[in-house]
Amino acid sequence: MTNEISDHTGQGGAATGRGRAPVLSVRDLHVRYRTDDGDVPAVNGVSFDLAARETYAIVGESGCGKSTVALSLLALVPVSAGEVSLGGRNLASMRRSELRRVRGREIAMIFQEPMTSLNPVLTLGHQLVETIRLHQPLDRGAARRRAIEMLERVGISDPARRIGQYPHELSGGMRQRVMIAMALSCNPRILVADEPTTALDVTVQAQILALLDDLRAEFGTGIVLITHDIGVVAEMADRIGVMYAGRLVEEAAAADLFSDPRHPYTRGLLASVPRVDLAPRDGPLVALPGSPPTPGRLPQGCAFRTRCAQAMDVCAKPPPELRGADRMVRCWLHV
Amino acid sequence: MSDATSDTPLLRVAGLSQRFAVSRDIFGRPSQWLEAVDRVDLELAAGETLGIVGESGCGKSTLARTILHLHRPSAGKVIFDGVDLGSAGPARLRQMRRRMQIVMQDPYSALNPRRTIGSSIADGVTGGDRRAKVRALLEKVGLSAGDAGRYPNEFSGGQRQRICIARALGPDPDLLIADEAVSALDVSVQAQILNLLAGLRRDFGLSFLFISHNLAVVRAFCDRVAVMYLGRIVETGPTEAVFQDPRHPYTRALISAVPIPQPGRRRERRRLLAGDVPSPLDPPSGCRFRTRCPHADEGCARTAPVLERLGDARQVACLRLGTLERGPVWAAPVSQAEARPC
Repeated sequence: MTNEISDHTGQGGAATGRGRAPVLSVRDLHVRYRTDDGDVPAVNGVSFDLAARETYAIVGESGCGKSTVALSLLALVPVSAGEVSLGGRNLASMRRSELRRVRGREIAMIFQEPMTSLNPVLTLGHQLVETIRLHQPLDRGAARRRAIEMLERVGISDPARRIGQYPHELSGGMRQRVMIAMALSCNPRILVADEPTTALDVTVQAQILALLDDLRAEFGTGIVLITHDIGVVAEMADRIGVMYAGRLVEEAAAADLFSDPRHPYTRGLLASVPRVDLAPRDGPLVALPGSPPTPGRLPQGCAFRTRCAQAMDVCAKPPPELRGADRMVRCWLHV
Repeated sequence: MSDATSDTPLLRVAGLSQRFAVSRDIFGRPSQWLEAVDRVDLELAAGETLGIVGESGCGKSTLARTILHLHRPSAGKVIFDGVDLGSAGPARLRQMRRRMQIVMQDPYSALNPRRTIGSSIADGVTGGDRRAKVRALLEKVGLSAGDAGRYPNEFSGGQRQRICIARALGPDPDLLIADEAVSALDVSVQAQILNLLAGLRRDFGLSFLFISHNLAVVRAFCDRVAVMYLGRIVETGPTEAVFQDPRHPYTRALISAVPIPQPGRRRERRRLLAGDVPSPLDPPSGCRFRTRCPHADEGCARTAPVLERLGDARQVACLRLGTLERGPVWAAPVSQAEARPC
């Protein structure tokens, strides 16, 4: 089974880039939000690496902190501790002007709702040309040609006409294509995609996922994919980090995580996804009890223990992060 | 109803259409129509669950609202337990509507934040000891009787959806319409709510109209399924027949576009549809799917296909049906054991 899977994954399995220097490296990242209830830890010690051409997926449910991780990769939220480094340089040590150069040029981001990410009163061309000229020494005409080329590359028909249109004239799928064109127009090494297809219909989602995968192969972009959709993760990811209550609780190559999930949360999460390709089994669906905890009101020790069928006394203490054989799991069961 | 026999459906929808005027000329006459639902026929037996699937804008939510007569239909009939809702008087309509309840997608906006959940649920409860019944309903949906005095903001999304379900059960309905009722929930919570609904179906013999864009959930939950595209049903039949052997090109494309949560199976699908769903303001002539259909020919632009019966209780609306591929959209069937290691 495992052999069969690694054939399909291509870049997955052993060739996950462990040997190569990572293009993005996150170490012990902490982000706290100040709220009326006091300081709330949204991200609580997250570490991972992304290799060139790799898709690293962070999967988790609402409130687990996955979008905060995404924002911190572009220094769009204040990081309270830990390090995000791009090609060996720490984001936190960069000046404002340097950060502006890095964002878009080296690391770009696309969001769930492309309507709110595009300026509604400017044409697509205006926004694309502006982005390109911010980072590349091109004159207006050359930047426009580059913009048209990128729109064409992301599958927008008649790009020379489209470039004069406003965001509201496009469908949701088209807008997301424009966002991808804009994000990739300066050929960044890293693309952060936060729920890029969640607002789209399933047939359009399939187009956008295929496009992202093609562009990754063509431009060698590493992708950090943030999603709650287990199907999308299986489709796209080389490596997967499962996030729960601000922490990565398990990390493995995609094929390994699906064939041998170890953390009880991962196991419950994967088992509770209904399958479109299989006839349903008799009896109820596998469901985890309870709901994901609210950040700021986390249980002591392992945050999952209140929902975990295998919880033990020792789970009241925070479980250690166990790394080995290219996987990580944070659970007392595997100590 | 005294004249109802066992094979009279609980709900029968015949030729139901719903169009909205989206613009008017200077005399106030409608000058442009949006046909949200176009001549839909369907039947639902007592205790049966019918899934309605389709992408955004296909008219599935408008269909639900029109069945409830929240909008008066532009044409066609809704017959619930032998009563034609269109010709029923206001009092009769209210009485029938109590027996058909709806649970919507967003449990945050469906509850009044300034009322206790007990008083929200009590609205629909009639007769006897209402307080006791509210408590019983709360326990039935997996909350505790003591929660009746609490406010919606004290509950999580999944718990709020349980509250909405309890409220819908208040008037002892025969039909529950679930309009994307689990779509806003996290996947671990989604399974809990689906199990709750399945339990209610078993214990009370409830019928469900289950509207969802999530095909995996529909396959897990529904007896029959109807696939909608731009206001029309393009295929309907027993759930397993449709998923194992989808016949309409749209059904095939839709099912094969769903990512499978198993990395080894990626890229075996890829029956990618080009483009987006056309605007319902200006639907294509003839078959509405033809602009995205890989099999369309000139005939599809001229003639609108109607649903035709196939052998296996299935109906499909496609002019080119005889010439199309069939069978599962996935290359190799995988056993449950192989697919689910945990």
